[in-house]
Order: sequence, then C-alpha cells, then structure tokens
Amino acid sequence: MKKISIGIFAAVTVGLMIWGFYQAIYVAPTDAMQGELFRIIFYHVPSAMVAFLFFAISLAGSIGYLALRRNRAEWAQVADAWALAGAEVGVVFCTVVLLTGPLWGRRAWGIWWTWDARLTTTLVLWLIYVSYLLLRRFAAGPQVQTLAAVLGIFGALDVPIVYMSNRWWRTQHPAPVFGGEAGSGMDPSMVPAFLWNILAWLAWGVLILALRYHVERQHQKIAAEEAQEALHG
Amino acid sequence: MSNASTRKLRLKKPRKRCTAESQDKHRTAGRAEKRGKNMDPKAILDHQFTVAAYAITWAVQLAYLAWLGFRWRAQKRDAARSSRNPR
Repeated sequence: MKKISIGIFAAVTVGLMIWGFYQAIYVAPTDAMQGELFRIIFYHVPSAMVAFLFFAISLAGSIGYLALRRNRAEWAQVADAWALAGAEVGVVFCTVVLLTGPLWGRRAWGIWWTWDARLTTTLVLWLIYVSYLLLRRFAAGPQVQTLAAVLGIFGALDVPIVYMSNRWWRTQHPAPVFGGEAGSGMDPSMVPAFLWNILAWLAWGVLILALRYHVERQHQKIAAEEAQEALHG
Repeated sequence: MSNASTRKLRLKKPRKRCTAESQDKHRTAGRAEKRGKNMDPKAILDHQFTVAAYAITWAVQLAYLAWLGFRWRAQKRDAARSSRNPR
C-alpha cells in the first residue's frame, strides 16, 4: 500500500513537472520587456521558495532534536533526520537559485554577479548550509548532531534576512514581484504558469525530501545496530 | 527615366501563382526562422540563456536524485550483508 501511494505520488509529480514545463514554455506569454529570458522566473523563483521551506523544516528538526535529545532519544533521531534532509535538499534548490540567477542577471543587467544584499545574503545562506553538511559528513563523535542542530538554527536565521533584503536595502536584484509595493505583481496571463511551476517544484521537492529522510533513517538504524553489536560483542 | 520604367514593369509583373513548390519554399523559410536563422541576435541569446537555465536546473536535480538512489541501494546492500553475517 505504501509503495503504491509513493508510486502514485511520483507519477503525479512527473505529470506536474511536464505540465509546468508546458505552461512555462508554450502557454505563458513572452514578456514585453525581457522577452524569452523572463521564462527563467518559472524555475528560479519556485526553487527559492522551496529552498526556504526546506530550510524551515531543517530549523524545526534542529529545534526538535535539541529539545528531545535527553528525554526521547528515538524522537530526537527522527527530528535530526528531518533536519538533515531539509538542509540537504534545501542546498540543492539553493544551488539551482544561485546558478540560474547569474544566467538571468548576465542578460538582464549585463553582469554575472554583484555584491548586492539579496545576492550576498543568499550566497551566505548557501555557505552556512554547505558547512552544515560538511560538518555532518566529516566530523565524528557524540556531539556532531548537537553542533549541527545549533548551526542549522543559526543558518535559518539568514532566511528572513534574504527574504527582506530587497525590501530593506536598495539592490540590483529586482524589487519583490509578489507582496511588494503598489504597482508590483505579475500580468494575470502569466500567473497560472507560475503557480503550476510552484506546485510542480514543491511536489518534486517533497518527493526527494521524503527519499532523503528515508535514507537517513535507514542509516541511523544501521548505525544503531552496529553500535549494539559492538557493545554486546 | 529607365528606373521609372523598370518600376512600372515590376508593378505590372503578374503575381506568382501559389504552387506546391512555392508553398514548400515558404515552409522552409518558416522552419529556418523557427530554428533561429532569421531571428534577432538578442532574441537568440535570450533563448540560449533560458535553455541553459532550464538545463542546469534539471542537471542539478537529476544528479542529486541519482546520487540519492545510489546511496539508498548501497545502504540496502550493506544492511542485507550485515544481517546475513552478524558479528
């Protein structure tokens, strides 16, 4: 039953990805100012949204681990697995944002990169979570999960700064399209394609997040079994 | 003087009938335009950058999915081996 539901969800996700691609390329009209280049928004912005969501999951997992590690060890392990899965999949989406952004910027602004607040805070966010993953990968000992949880919490503090950066400071990056000042927003003919792509990338993200969580839980179980065997000879 | 006469002649020239051959020529021209031969260079560059952004996105996502799949398989293999040969 579980396998069937996972298969159905995967099939729906693939369908959504194809539909989202079709909407982005064939249905959404060409932008009057930026032409075809504007279509990068359908991958760039949803990737950023999903990255923020998964960093929030990592934050919740990290807080959960720190809160439960002394009293409920098993629940703490579950929280830690979510923290790691959220951070890793978030880094993947943040990498997409940092790669597609400069491609857009090169054509729209004439430069690959500029040290403005939005771009710099996003790069810092990515670096914090990459250091989180490196810590998890290479450090050893009983304190690794605790240290990683603390780093995960500090990393998540950068998310609201990234989100607000182009509201607080003048940036090369455009002002917010949604929730910005009066006159901001997207042409109504482009909104369905944008929403379909958000849904598609969210479904894709949830799928790989669930897979990553499952792999981590399996890893924890194998590590626990090995530790038990080592204790009992 | 001669220019005016040629213009006249050109104007008088009967329009070509739309034959299957001429329709083929039109189609070929349309395809060439679609391929980008007669497109504005700025539009071609915009198109190439958009394609690059989409391709990079898919490359990153699928590479991660593949890595995750390999890791999952390796872990399953390790779990099966350790259950077969307990210390």
